[in-house]
Amino acid sequence: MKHCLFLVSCFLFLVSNGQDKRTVDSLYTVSNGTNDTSKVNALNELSLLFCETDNQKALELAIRSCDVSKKIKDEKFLAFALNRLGSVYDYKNMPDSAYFFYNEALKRFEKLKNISGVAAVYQNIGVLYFIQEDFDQALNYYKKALELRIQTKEEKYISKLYNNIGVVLRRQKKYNEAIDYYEAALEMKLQRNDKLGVAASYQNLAMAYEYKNDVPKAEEYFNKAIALYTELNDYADLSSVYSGFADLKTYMKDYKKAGEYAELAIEYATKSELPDRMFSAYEISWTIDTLNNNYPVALRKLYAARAIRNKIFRNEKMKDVEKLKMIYETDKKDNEILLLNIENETKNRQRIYLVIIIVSVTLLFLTALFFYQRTRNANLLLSRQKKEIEDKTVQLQLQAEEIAKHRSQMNPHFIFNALNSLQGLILNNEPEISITHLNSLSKLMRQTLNNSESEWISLSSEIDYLNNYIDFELQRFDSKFDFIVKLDSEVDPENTGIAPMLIQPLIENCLKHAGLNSRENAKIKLEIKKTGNKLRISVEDNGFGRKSTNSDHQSRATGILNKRIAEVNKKLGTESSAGLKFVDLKDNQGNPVGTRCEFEIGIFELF
Amino acid sequence: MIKAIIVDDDKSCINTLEKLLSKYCPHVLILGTANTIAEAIDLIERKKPELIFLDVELNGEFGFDLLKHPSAIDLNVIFTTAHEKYALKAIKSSCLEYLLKPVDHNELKAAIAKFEGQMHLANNQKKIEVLLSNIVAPDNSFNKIIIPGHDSHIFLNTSEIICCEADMNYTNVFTEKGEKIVSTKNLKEFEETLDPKTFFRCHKSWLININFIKKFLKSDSQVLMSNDMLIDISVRKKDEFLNLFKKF
Repeated sequence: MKHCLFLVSCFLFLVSNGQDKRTVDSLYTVSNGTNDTSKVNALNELSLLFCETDNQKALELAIRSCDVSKKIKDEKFLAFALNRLGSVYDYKNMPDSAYFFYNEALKRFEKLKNISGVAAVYQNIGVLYFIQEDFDQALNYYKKALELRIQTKEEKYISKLYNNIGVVLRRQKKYNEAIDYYEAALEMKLQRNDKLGVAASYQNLAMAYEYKNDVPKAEEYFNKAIALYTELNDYADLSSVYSGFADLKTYMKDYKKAGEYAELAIEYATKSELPDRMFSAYEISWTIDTLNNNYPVALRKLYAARAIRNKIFRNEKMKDVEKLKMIYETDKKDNEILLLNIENETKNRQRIYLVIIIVSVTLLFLTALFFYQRTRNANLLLSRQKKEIEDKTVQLQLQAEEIAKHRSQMNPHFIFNALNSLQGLILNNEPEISITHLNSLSKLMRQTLNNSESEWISLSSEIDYLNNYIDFELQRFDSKFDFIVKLDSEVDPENTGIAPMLIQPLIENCLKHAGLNSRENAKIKLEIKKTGNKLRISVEDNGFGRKSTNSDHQSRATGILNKRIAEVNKKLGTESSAGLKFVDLKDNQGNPVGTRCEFEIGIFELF
Repeated sequence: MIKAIIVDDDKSCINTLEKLLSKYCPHVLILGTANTIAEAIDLIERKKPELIFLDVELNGEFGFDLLKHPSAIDLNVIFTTAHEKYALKAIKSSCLEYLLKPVDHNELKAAIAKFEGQMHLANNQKKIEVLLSNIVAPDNSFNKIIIPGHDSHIFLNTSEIICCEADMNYTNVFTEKGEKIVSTKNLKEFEETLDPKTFFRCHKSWLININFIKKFLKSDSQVLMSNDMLIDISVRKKDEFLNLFKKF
């Protein structure tokens, strides 16, 4: 109970209870401002304010203060901020962290040769050790701080340190030394005419003498303190002094006097309207009344004490509510600031979007313009090119017609049918036959391609080609028929040229339409004779005859052939004859026994 | 046993040739296959084959280029080609073997048999030399030719040939040095191989080098060659022949 009195006086310089909302607001405004140095100060102050009520907030603020200091690269501010951070951890009851940050602050202050700063940190470290009840270390740091403060002649701090050292010594039960320091503090306060401070020193001295069992001295100082506090109308402290005095009287077994002082303590406590004070006054008072055997009064006071305690409890609850309210308020502020920032950002973003849109539209317009121009130019160029192409196309068509006059391609029907039968062979798993078949086909196609590149080929080449063709067809239909070539002895097959692909269609015709496949002793006869300056070429089969077969395709094929024959004859200057001539062959009874197709064509000698 | 590799950019062609070989020429051992020249060189260096089946057109690369590589220089080669006319002409001029795709198994067997029969002839490098020289020659103006005889090959500069005479399916080649070489190729093949600006088919049986003409005998429609041979010009070819000299 006695201890609390001293502790209050000893931490006064650290604790600030003035959490005035307006102060907080103004500090907030500064801490969000643009001036970094004032920002750090504000943040440090704010952090200090929040130490008791909202440790987390205090921590955040201290950290922010550190960040800003680092940003502006101000080591001094950073040291202050770190010092603040240390005390925040002190309040959080995390001594190791506190010690670490104090040390960090210390290092910086030392580097900066900032003596006041170093002293402040020493002092804080002293407090830290004091709370941990490591009195030797606490004393050590307080003395270090004291040394520096004497050096800088900061009297305010010197007297405080004397006081603090006294408290430590008293806790160490070194009462004489404690009294020495209290007296040193007192002397300084007297010099400065700090009446409140002087009164507090009297009180401390009184307590120290009490512990020392020097009752007269204790009484002397209690009286001095009472006199001064009365002068100052400081009811709270008066109550506290009277409580202490009552305690002393009890110790001296002067219960009557003790009872009187206790009553006075209650009176002044009531005047001060401080529940804490009232409670401790009642507590002392009812204990003394019990000692005086005045039980009814004691009981009454006990009830009063209890009532006050409940009130205190309620008040503390209220305080908590207040704290929560404040936290809520500051959070609201934070959120508002955040919202404002977001709003600003949104505005900025909108501006950026606007710029992007304008730029895009401009670009789009320019691109469109560019493309329009290009398209226009391209169109001009195109129309010119189109005309050129048209001219070229006409030329090419003429050329193509010219070429087509002389060349005939293999009938696509024939190729695909051949491929189809190959497919069948493969499906029937007859690789040997497929390969033979394939080889014949490829040879035939190669020959067709080669021959069609020349305007003229030798008759021997043509006959060779026809033989290959027949071979292929024989394989394909797995049929048997004879292919007979009758060549007039006057015709030199090496030296006689013929337009390629004139005879093949006729043979294909026979195979397709004469129904040779289902016939025994089927045959195709090719006869080439020389008549004057012309060749007479005839292809004869012994099939069913033309009438019984479809003649639509035939007529188209013969149409093309007739055209080609006419062209070749024209080119060679041969008198054009009737072209293709079909003869239906009949037996004696008039039944069809085959077809003969013949034409005449001019002779082209190769050499 | 013949150790061979196949170089072709088309995997299905490789597959087909492998199948055909295993079916019709089972003694040809395929050591590996390659799709590019680089792969082929690597394969040759690692496997040391005796024979390459080489596609003429390798997806943008020129199959012949493989033969320029030192590792491949004295390898035997059988070209495979689908329809590369110009390349085919060059191959024919060098008497190297070739197969047309799709490969006819009979031709394949023949080519392998021929390779086995000629393995003792160490003239492969010369053939390749001719081939590579002709392949870079502008359109048909081949400078060198290899003439296949019954049991040997004769290397000639085309400028040494005076004239060629058809002799049934064979051809007699007369050279500047007074030689008469009998070739197993027919005259048509010579006509197709030799540069048409220099060699003129003046007759069904004759192909002449116009640089060796000494005299044109108008009355008999004959030419006198530098080796004093008299060669007929057929009636139909006379105008064309005279046109050749109009520019002189």
